Amino acid sequence: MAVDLQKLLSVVEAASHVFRAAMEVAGDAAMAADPTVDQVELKARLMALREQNEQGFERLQGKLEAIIAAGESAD
Amino acid sequence: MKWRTAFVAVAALALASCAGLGSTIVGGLSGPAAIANKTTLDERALLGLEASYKAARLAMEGAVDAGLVKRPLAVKFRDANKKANAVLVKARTAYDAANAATLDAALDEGAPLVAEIWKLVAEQEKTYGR
Repeated sequence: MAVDLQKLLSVVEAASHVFRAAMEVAGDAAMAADPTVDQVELKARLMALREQNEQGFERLQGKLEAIIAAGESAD
Repeated sequence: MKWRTAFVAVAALALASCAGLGSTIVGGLSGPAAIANKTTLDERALLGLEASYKAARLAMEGAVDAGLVKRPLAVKFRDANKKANAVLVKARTAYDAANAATLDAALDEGAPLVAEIWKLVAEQEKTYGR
């Protein structure tokens, strides 16, 4: 059976991105609960995370809209 | 898959930090540490919400990038993502304006919306048998 290598690579790549992001999220959750972290550090991380989420939201919506549009034209 | 299980645990941790932090800090500590924590409570709560949204958002994006999301689920993901983002915008605006009541309400609204995204991600897993 032939393996669709490109498809396999895209799955592996997506999983590795998600795994790396999971580590970052774990760090953020730990930071939120750590009483020794001061307000300056918290604010800096919060602003960085906000920016990531703003950009990530737009990127994801774009990908989803593309899937929806492709599905509509196929129907 | 293992990465998803890890993600669920992390999101739960982030949500827990978001939802339970207030009572832990306000009721559990005393002295300078308690004062420092009270002044950073908004940052900690919002950080928890942002982190839990990030986990859910990336789970959706991971499924999309892997080619596992077709049109019907894409519509659900899009709508859930939009709703979660609207609450995040509300929470950020309240935080910037130091509006504690609105921030509190947005945090309460945010957790179930993130949970809704996880439900959709689980649905995708069921569909593709992973």
